[in-house]
Parts: sequence; structure tokens; C-alpha cells
Amino acid sequence: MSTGTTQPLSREEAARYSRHLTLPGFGAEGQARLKAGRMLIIGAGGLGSPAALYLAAAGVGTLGMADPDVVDVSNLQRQILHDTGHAGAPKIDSAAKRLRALNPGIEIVEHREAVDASNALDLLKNYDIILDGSDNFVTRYLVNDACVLLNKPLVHGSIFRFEGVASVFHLHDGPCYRCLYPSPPAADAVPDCATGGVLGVLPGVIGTIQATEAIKIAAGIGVTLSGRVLLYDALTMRFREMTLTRDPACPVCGEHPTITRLEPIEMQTCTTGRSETGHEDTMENIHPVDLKKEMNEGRDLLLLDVREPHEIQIGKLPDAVEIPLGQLPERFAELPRDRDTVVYCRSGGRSAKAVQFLMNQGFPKVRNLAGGTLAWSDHVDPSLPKY
Amino acid sequence: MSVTVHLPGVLREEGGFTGPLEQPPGSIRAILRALTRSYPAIAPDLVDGDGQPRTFVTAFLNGENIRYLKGWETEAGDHDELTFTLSIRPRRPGIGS
Repeated sequence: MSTGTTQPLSREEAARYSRHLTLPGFGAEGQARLKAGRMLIIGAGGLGSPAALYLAAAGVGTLGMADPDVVDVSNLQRQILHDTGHAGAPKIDSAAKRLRALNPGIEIVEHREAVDASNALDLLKNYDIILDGSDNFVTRYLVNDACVLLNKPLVHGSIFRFEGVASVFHLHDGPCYRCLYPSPPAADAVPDCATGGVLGVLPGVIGTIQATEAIKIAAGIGVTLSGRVLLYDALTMRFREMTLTRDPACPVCGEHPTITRLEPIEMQTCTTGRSETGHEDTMENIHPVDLKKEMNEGRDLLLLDVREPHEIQIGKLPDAVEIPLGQLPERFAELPRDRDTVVYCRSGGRSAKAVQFLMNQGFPKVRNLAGGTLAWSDHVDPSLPKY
Repeated sequence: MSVTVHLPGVLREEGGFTGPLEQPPGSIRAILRALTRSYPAIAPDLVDGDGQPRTFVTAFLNGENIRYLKGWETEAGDHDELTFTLSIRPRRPGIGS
């Protein structure tokens, strides 16, 4: 797969990779191909962490990582590239330091920017194999399209709660992600951040499968997941396999593609809090400090928590009424219309939607707690756990 | 005579069931309709307001993508395994939509 020139292994490399060299069907030729390989991992998070560690350890010659984020303490439950001392530091710094310590004989390329339509082609063109460890659909579709346009294989991984998916797209004209899901959801659907959460070890399984596939592609061995979608359920410990065929009508890799150049993927994300109602312009936000002040003054306030029950178990504001956002259309009649209501969630996105919904239902005085429980913890009550 | 239906864990949880579901044989569209009637809590994740399968729902019959069979009219018979996958979860109706 590699377009690089294979070179003989040094004495040190022969010692380091001896278990590969003695592996039947892999050997010095496979190792040399890895050494010549150039792989880019999108995301230094849950999936990117195990993938990067194994690819670096395996001796992939050039390993790029792209991630604009900083390490948050909530990442450490699963993102094993990073450690406690790196909280607040750029993930790329943490990742590069760890990978260079693991294998100083390879080149680590640091990309601190997010992958978007303006830079994806330039970023990806320098690599042979792309691994998608991103955590959002915009990037997922964008990277897929870029790989098809650049004719590069994409090793896909995604995770949600207790389940994961892995596949290989656009390898030797195989099917791509859009052959499975042709287009990103439009206005009628957005990711539901309320259902977030992931078993920490889950990305370890899926990310390691991604690394395995990338190594097989680079070394030219085995049978890859191209044309197959692997579903993994950690709760039942079952792997199931679906077949995937290249779709002749695929908008990007089909016979008459409509996507011929990279353009921004239009899609809402779960944190915008914007709506089609136009109320985002008139919605009133309240800062946590101001809310606390009103509470201390004894103002008659109704606090409405629209998070999911498992989130509320972590901690809540005093005396808040609990109605998850998804139940609000069926349960909003439980709320008194004459009370001054402040709605909150974790970060302010879901509560903004709830405020808009309640305003549409004619509730006269509804405000959104800006920044949600995260901001409340930062500005008012640090004892409220952040998650 | 039944078809074994596999759904993502998040839908199993929301629908209040744990394992695969057994449904009478029929077209996949009919099975989907029966599912959403039996488990209305997961209906918004699978079908739109008109009862049509959502665009981000894909179904596999015995591991084969139904798009390359007869689509939603593909017949599922006794002992068949039907798997629904979603690329995304929709927001709930009535909330900003």
C-alpha cells in the first residue's frame, strides 16, 4: 500500500521488531513496508489513543496526528495517550511526547488544527492511510469524502456507549462510508448529546481493530474489513458482521458522483442550541452568578433540569424539577406557566432547545442557564461535579 | 415462525428490552411498523412523522444490506436475522424541529 520506498532495517530496528520479523507471513518485508508507511490519525482521543500507541510501537515510519483540543480530566477514563499531568495541555503535545518516548525511531507529525473542508485535502494528501478517530459526523463525512477524492483508504471506527463499529472504506475501489449512510442527517436530526457516555475500555477494542487494519493494509497481508462492517457489543461481548457493497449511486464514489470537490458538511451539532423558530435571538440567558443572586434574594423561581436521569444522579441544582428534554413535549403541561422558570442542562445546549420549545408553547417567562451545570460549578458551587 | 431483530443498545434501553426481539415474518417495512407500534419510545429513532424509515437507518437481513435486496419491501422469513443500525440518533419530535 505504501507509496514510499522500502529501506532495509537497521540493527536497532531488527532488534526492536524481532517478533514481527519472525512472524510467518509478515517478516522483514512487512516491517519494511510499515517503516515506509505514512499514516494519519484524525483525533487523539479514545480511538486515536490505542491506534496511535500500537502503530507507533509497530514501527509505522511516519505517524501524523490531528487534534485541536486540550486534554480534559474527563478524557482520561479512556484516552490512554494522555495522563493526569497533561490536563489542560494540547492533546497533540501529550500524544507526541508519549509516542516519541514509546518509539523514538519513527517520525511523529503534529497537526494542531481541526480537520475541515478548507484544509482536509492538504492534510490528507501527504499520507497513505487515514484512520478516523473523530467524534462527530461532520468530520466523519468530510474525511470520507476527502479520502475518496484523494483515492486513499480510510480505516473507520466509531463508538457509542457500549457499542462500536469498525470498517475499512475506499480500499481498492471498495465501498465508502457514504455507501453505508449516503448523506449526513439534515434539519430533522441532530446528535443527542444527552445520551453521551462511553465505556472507557470500548475505544480500546475498536481503536486497536483500526490499528490492526491499518497495519494489514500497509504490510499487504490478510483480508481487511473492506466490504464488511463489524459491529461490537461490549455488553453481550458479541461481534457481528454486515456486508457492505459499493453503491453505484453513491454521491461521492458512485458511477455519477455529485460530490466532486470538498465542501463544508452542513449539519447541526448537539451544542448549538439554535432552532428554526427564530427564538434564539430573543431567548434570554442568565449567568450562574446572577441566578445564584436571585435565589439568595428569595425570588420565586422554578428550576427545570432537562438532563437524563443518569446525569442528574451525578448532581443537580437544589429543588430542580426533572424532565428530560426528550419527554418535554409529553410532559410540559406539568409545569406551571405563571412561574419564572430557569432551564438548565450540562452545558446549555439542550436547555436552550427546551427554552425555545416552552416559549413556543406560550410560557411567558423562561430563561436558559448559560453554560449549564458546568458553568454553575465554575462560578457558583465547585462541589457540583463536572462531567 | 419468527424473525430475530437486533437493535442498537441505546434503543434497547430506551425501549425497555434487553436482548434481540422476535417478530413475525413479513416485509421489513411491516416489521419496522410493528416494532414502532410495540415500542413507541423508539419510534422517533426509526421512523419519521409519516412512518417512513429515517434516512440514517440502515437494515441488514442476515448480514446483507437490504438496499441491495428489495429495500424495505424485502421479505424476512422464519429464522432470519434482521439488524437495524443508525448513523445518528434523532432529536425528539417537538423539540426545535
